[in-house]
Amino acid sequence: MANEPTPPKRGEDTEETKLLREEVTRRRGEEDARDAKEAVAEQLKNRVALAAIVLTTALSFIGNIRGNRADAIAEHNAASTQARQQAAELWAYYQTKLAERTSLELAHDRLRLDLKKRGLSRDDPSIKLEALKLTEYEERVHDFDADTQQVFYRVQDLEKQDDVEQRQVVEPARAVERYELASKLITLALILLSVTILSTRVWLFFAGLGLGAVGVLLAFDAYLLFF
Amino acid sequence: MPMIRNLLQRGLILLGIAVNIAFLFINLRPQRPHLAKVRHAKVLLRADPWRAKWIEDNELKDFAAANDIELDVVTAATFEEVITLLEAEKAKPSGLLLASVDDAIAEELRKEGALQPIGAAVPPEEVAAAVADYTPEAMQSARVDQQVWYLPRRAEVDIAVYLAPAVEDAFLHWEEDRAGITAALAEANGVGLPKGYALKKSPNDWDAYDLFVAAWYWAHHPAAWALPKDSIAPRVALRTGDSEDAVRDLVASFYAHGLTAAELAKKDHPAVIDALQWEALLRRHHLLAAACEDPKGIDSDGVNDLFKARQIAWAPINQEDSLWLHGGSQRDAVPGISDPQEIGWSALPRGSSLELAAGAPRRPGKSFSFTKVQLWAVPVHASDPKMAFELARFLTQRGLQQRETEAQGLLPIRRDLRADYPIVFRLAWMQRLLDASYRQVNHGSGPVPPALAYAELDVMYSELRAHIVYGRPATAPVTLAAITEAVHEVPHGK
Repeated sequence: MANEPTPPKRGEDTEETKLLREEVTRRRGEEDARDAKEAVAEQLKNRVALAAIVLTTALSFIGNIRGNRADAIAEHNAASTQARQQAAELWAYYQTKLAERTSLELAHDRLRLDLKKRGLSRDDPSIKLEALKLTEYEERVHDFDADTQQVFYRVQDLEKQDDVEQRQVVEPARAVERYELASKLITLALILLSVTILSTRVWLFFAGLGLGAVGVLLAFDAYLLFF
Repeated sequence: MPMIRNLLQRGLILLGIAVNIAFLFINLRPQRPHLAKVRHAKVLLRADPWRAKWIEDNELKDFAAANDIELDVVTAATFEEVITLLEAEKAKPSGLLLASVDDAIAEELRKEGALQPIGAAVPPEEVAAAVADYTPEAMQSARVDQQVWYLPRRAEVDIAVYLAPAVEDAFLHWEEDRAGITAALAEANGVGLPKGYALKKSPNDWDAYDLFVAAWYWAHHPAAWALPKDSIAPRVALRTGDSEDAVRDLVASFYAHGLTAAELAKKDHPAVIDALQWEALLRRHHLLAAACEDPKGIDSDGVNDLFKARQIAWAPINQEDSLWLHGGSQRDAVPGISDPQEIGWSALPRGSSLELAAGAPRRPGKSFSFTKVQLWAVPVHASDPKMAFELARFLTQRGLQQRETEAQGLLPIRRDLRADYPIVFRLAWMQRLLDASYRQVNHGSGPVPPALAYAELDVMYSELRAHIVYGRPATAPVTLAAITEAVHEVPHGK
């Protein structure tokens, strides 16, 4: 009887109870930690989702604006090409006119040289036909000059238009370049945010957020072209 | 802490929404807004109102729109006026951003401290890229001690302009006057024409003898190609007096006869005497237009007016004036000479001593002309030197320089335009003009020696010519000895 364990007094925990209590406490602690971790993960997920929504919307807008600027470049390039093409066609026409003029000039010179050789002046009554022809050639050469001058003015206008259109490409091209870089940065930011959800690493979230912010700023610079 | 965090979170959410709303608005109007405050600046040009307006409309407006800047054009009629305006700008800045100067006045303004180096506010690689665009000759004028002080704007070189029917007339008929010509020349050189002389077909190959022969023929025969028709008058005009152009022509004629920059101050140099002897001979026989003998002389505008009125058949001219004379290639240009297709351009005649040895000129020379480069310079107190550099680059870009050449007449200073000029400038007459200009550059050309102005040699030589050529009686002897003696007789300092 003497060796029998002493029953716990009322109010005293047995060893087993203690162990049980510790186990319960431990489990409760683990549960709390898990809950806290889950709460953090949940919060991170929410933040990532929010950031992703903002950045995705921005990316979509930036894509549209970039498209618009790229269209503007294409329009100017098309106008420039068209002007250049028209100028080239007019130049071909100008050359044809010039060739005609040259043939008239040659005929005029040949007739003049012939009269010179024969020692006849233009006022000589015996060469009335030749004198008439000479005058006609001179008038036609004069008309050709006036015509080709008009053609040249038009060519000049078209070449100017080509030049101006080419210059107008510069600003949208600068913008497109920046919008493209901004899009890439925001895309990368979205990838980092996606990885954040899988790995629940907070620093990845901030890295993504930072990159996204740089992308957004760059997109604003593409619009304002400060730099 | 949690409160601050909450606020921060909400702030970021709001910012995100604001960013997207901003992008939404940008989507509605994606063109760059001109939010920057429009600045005002001035550009100083040496140009007449028509040319200044052309530059403003075709060049400056584009740059101004792209850079949120309002550019006002200040014009000066002469480079002397440019000096005055830049000196005033130095004393009291008025917002001048860029100024057009020429190589003759640039050094003076630089030394006075009225300018600053154009590339000072720009990264060296940008300056190097700019330098690579311009011709080496133009950059020669733009550098001071290897530093780029200016950017080239345009260049000019004097060449000769002639009426093709007049040259044809002289070539066909000059022999009728051989006796008179020989006698006139013999009076000056004791011999007459060189052995086996014949007037050369092309003015590009002419020397001083050919010019004299043609001038003689034209001055003694009715000219069907002149106005009034069939009138008889001297048909050659040289720029005389003390105008900048006249002095430059005179000194260039010394170079054509063999003078070098090192000998510039030697007024009794054989080249100086040879050149003066020719001009005195032309005057003695009344082969120069009457206006050349005016005590005030005749400047390039006067000579151009005579040519445009078809009163003369040969004269020196630059590219800008050539366009004015021809009538140009612009719709709104001032109408030029009647029958402009009859105009021809050539290099200036080669120098050649009147004195002969064994039937040939004793001192053969070359064709020579000074190149004049206009430069873009930045005033010392310019508020934005970087923008000034960008503006100068913009104004000298290929397309604009090509159009400016076609509209205003100049010798392009860009390497690419110089290399491609037969392709780029397709009007036949403009090609002839540029062909003659580059031929002149290749035959003989160089920058105006700075000493000409600094040492007041320009004054000395214009007074020397006034005394030797136009100051003596028209009948005064024109032998080498007489001219040499007259040169020595000119008081010191003249």
